[in-house]
Amino acid sequence: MSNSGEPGVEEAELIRRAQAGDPAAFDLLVERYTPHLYRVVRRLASDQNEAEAIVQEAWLRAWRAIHRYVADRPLSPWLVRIAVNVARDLWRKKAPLDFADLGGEEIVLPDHAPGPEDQLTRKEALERLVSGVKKLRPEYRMVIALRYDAGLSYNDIASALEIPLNTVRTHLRRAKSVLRLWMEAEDG
Amino acid sequence: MADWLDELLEAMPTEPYPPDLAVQVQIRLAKTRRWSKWVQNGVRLVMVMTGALGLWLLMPRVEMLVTAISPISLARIEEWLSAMVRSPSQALLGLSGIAITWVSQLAAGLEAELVLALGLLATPALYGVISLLSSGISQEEAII
Repeated sequence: MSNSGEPGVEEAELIRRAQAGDPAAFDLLVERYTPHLYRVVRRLASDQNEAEAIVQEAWLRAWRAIHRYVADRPLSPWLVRIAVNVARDLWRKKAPLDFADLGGEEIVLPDHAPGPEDQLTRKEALERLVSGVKKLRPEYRMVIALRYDAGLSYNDIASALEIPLNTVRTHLRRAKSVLRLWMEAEDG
Repeated sequence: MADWLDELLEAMPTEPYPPDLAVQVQIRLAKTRRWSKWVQNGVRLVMVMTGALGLWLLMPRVEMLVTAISPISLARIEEWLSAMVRSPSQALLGLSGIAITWVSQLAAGLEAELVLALGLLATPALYGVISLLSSGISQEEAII
């Protein structure tokens, strides 16, 4: 599976067959891409059930739209974009965003904060980072998920979220800045 | 420039992937495919029946329609083309007069059954056109 590059020959053939209406070919794409898609979606979703629901709905929409997919483009960003739209629709239906806004919290930094990895084991640092990402504002969490879990380029993120490239850069910079503060505050 | 945070973000763990998720998706897709095929076949059947009913109602009135159209002959078209070359505005004025006469003749001969027949024939035709157009929507619009 190629996540961000052009589809391989075998994969391109699967996509072509799926576009021609071959369910078996599409089912093979489901098998190949679901783990990757789940990883990205799980970062966005509030729990495992929500993530599974988003992934399922994203595949249904992908099936309905596969004949319009431009086959020489990578499939992964296209799928991620559909999943992001499904997630947004789901959140719109729910009560206003039930995510804590880490960006709005006041984080007290220690005076001489040593590098977090000096004191923490890597595992603990990763656990803290994951909890920090969960508390990010949704738009920040999305760019983090698309950049680091999906491995998308800035352009693909901009396309997936339908926001300008500069906004992607800004979101990513702010998200990392908040996470850096979070890690250092946790450390102190 | 990548730093410790980038490195950690790239290594961020995620919850284990539910092993049966892909199978669940495939089962749901199979259900959706069966359902949409059933609906599609149902709509097609209704359209065929609508078209057939429209034709059945139209058949006895074909003669009237042909009579209404008969004034349009090759000689008249030739005559109109010559008029168009001589004086385009006069030719267009003449054409609109002919069209109005033809439509009013047709309208006078319209019965409720004929209107119904044309409506019934137009429905499957419209459905066909919409189906064709919807398959031409761009990929960007497909992202629902």
